[in-house]
Amino acid sequence: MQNTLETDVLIVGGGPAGTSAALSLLKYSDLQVVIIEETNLESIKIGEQVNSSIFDLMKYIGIEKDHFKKDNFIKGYSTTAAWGSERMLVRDSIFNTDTESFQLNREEFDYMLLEKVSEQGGIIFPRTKCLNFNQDEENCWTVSLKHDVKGNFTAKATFLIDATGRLASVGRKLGVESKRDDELTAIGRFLYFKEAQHIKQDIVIESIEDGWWYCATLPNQTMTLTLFSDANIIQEKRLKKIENWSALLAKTTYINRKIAAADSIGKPWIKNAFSQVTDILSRKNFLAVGDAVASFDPISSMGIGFAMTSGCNGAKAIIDAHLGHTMTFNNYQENINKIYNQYLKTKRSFYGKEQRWNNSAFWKKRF
Amino acid sequence: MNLSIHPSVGVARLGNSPTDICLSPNTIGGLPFDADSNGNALGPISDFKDAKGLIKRQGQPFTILTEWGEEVNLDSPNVASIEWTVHLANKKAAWYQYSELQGNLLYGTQNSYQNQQIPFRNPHKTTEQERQTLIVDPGPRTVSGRSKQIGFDKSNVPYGYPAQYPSENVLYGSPITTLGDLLTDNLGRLVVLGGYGHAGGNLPLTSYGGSSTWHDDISDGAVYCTVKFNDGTSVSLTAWVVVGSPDFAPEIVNISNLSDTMFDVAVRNFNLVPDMYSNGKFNPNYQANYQRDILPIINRIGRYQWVSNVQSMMAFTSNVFDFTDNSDANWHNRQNYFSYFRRNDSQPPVPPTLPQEQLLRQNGTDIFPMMPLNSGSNSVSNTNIMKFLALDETQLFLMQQWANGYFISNTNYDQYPVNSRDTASVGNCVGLPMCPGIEVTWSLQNPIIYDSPYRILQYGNEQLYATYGLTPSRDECEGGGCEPGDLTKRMACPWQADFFQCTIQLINFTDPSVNKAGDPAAPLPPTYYSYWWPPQSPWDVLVGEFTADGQVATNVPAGQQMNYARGINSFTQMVTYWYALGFIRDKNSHSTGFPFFVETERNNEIFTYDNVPVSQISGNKEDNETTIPVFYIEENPQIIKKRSEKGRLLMAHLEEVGFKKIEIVGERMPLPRSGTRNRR
Repeated sequence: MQNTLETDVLIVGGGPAGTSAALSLLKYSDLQVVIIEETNLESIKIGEQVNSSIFDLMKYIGIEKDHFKKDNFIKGYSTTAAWGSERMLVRDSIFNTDTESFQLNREEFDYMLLEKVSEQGGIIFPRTKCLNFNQDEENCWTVSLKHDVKGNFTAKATFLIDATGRLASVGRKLGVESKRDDELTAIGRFLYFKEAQHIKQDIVIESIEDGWWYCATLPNQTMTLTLFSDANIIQEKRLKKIENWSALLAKTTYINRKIAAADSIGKPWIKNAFSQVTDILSRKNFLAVGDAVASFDPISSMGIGFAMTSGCNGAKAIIDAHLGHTMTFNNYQENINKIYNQYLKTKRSFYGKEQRWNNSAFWKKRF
Repeated sequence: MNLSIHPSVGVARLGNSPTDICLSPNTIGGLPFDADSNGNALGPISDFKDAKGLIKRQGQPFTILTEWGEEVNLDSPNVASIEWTVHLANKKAAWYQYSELQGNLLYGTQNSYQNQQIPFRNPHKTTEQERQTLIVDPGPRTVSGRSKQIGFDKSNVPYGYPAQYPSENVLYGSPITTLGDLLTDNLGRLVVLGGYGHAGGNLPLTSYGGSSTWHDDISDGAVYCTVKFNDGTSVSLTAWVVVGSPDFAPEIVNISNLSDTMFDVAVRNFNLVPDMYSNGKFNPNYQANYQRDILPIINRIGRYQWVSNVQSMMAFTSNVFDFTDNSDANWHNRQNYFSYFRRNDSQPPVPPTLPQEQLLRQNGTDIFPMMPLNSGSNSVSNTNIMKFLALDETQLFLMQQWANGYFISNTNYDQYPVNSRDTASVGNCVGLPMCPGIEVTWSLQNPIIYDSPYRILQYGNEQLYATYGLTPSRDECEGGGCEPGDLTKRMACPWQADFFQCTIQLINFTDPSVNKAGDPAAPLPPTYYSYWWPPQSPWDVLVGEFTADGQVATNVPAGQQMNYARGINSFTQMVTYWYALGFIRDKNSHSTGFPFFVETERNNEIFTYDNVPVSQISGNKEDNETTIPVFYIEENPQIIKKRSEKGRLLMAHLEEVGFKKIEIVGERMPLPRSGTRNRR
């Protein structure tokens, strides 16, 4: 067969989950790794909050502290929230986040992980789409691929990892089942500030009747401003329209004040933010990591940490399976389910703290 | 000794480089000159932009010549001193809204602004006193000696002069703090520099004419010079200077340029060439010279192809017969050729003779566009319609003489009695169409504003201006001469609005009495795709990036014809990013034969590029395979930087490693499909 690449593990998706899995595999086994990334590495990424446990994870996958660039992490971010009351409170008192938190520069962070994978001998194909997946009798995978410029080629692999984020596009193609807990959706825009403008490095959260607003300072005089609400509310109230979105923004007190000095506003973007868990066990030699296996409400700040943990755990499951152990994928799934169920409880307690809008469709279903 | 300043009407051009300047060309279609910071020419221009990608301001040098053409400067033995004074002003905000040909008194007094009830710009200011505050008037500045400099900013307003600057707080764009600078070079010649391309206002821009509250730093005004001689005598001389937007394609000349306009006015009103025209009549026996009078017109029509797609004009200018042959045997060829040239409408037009409303020359079922195929001075509104372009009357007369055989073809011809510096400066400006145009507009067709051939008549003097300020609503086309700011006050405010909006016009060609119909008014179908002034505001250009690295930035292979302003998608973006546009330059200028004009010096890093699949619009996945290239400005400058460096390099590196691996493992990759998915 022409233009075929053989590897042990094929990972679809080059975000933190996929690259953490790749780095674990490269560090703790001799398995060969190929990552397929659909974008040209330019898609919009929103900065996220992480806690200090991320440094242990990074160490685990072989990235020492001196690898971090100065502005990859910004320390000492405070989060305040008007949630459950009109008053602004420090977030810790509402959500009980434990350790010191950091704001992540996602673009730099993702680039660093990709570079590291490449350095360790992993092969990465940006701008490459998966056309279809075939599994033979011995459970080996043949994946047809298409690069934007170079055209079609094929990869053969023993193991396949879905690291495509919330859409879990590999799993969906393979017909694995997921269970969705809500239809949370984010509509956000970037705000840009002039060089001379001093902007406070923090995060502000403010709840409203139809959901909640999230505003975070990013590096480079940029802020992200996002409305979280349910898909059906967004559709009903036509919140994709800028004027309606802005009308809701006008109802906020603290957020409005924080963004007043913005110099310009970027185009709106929409992203899914639903909570979902996937059962991978219906396919052999396949697993999902990160948002593709379990995705969380962003209020939980679990996204990146979980992406990396599940990447490492998924890699471990594959390494052990390759060594001949059975049940490693079952254990992996069991662990995922446990984390997800714990998360659902925490989520209910978060949302239960907001009691001001008992009749709101958004809040009612989250108590 | 009779002295005069040349050019009689100079043309400087805006630029946003705070450091670098260049000097205006001294021939029609010539390149500007590089210059040091005192305005001494260093040779033909190397780059139009400085090292940071900002456009060099183009200064206009002024020279004093004797009637015999010898220069007088500070090195002349009998000269004691030369003192220059220039008064620049911008009256745009105080003038009427641009309303095509309404207000043009060449159409009679019933067409005056008042009679046509044309509203003012900034109509909320009503009294003459309030309206005067809308003028940007820094007052005069004086400079003398060698290597001197003075700016038109607030810090050096002459004592007691009622200077006016617009507010420094604007919601959109940037405020106007100066209209430019004066320099003297090593020999004490004057160089006038215009503004930096700042434009600002408080209302959104919505129309090509601009919006109320806006100002820009375009200007014009009087140039005065006093030469003192060692014997104690002195002479005072005057000229005029106009500041225009950058000439993005300086080597491509308008078919009817502003020198043609001034020549036409001078021939028909100032007895400039009595042999050709006297006592109100052209002389039917006047002998034209093909090389001087005809060839430039044909060449200019031919060169539009480098900045626009007017294939019929390329066909028309190919050498279908010997244009230089004045024999009777060639009579039919010449008459046939001339019959394609559209004749002038009268002013005002008298139906049913409306040649400028006619698009096509018909011969049975055959059709071919009349020449030049270009918009006329009003293909926009329904009052004083002038849909398509015709050469000016003098150009058409000379064409007629050629067609009739009254011509010779001799490259060694006598120049018309106009100094070549006077024709060169204005010859690089738009002459037709005027709607309003780029640098100046139809008031320059009116003999009443001239003192003599190519010289502007001035109203009042500096003493008067210092006492009363400039007049906000006096119409110089009623007579009495021009004040600083009068030549440019009709132009769009800011100029970027017109420049962005007006390169193309869809023109109805079936109903001579209508341009637009419906509500909101739109060009009445059927229409023809017509250009305004592509040599000044190019539209279709060949991308001229010949290096692999450069092509990563252009996202377009060399030689592909692209839209010139691609990526600038709104008025506001044009106000900010006008300087990012490329310069169209002849890359084969040192060889005889053929020009090769390509786009150079575009600031590609400002623009982001995407291929958008048609399926994104249609919703049909089947349409995935056809993509449309889309250019836009990335709003966050930090993202631009990161993408061009980090993300791009990383992607390229990863792909290189990855595909090398495949080559080693398997056979070779398939060749990329021939052709391209991009359809334009």
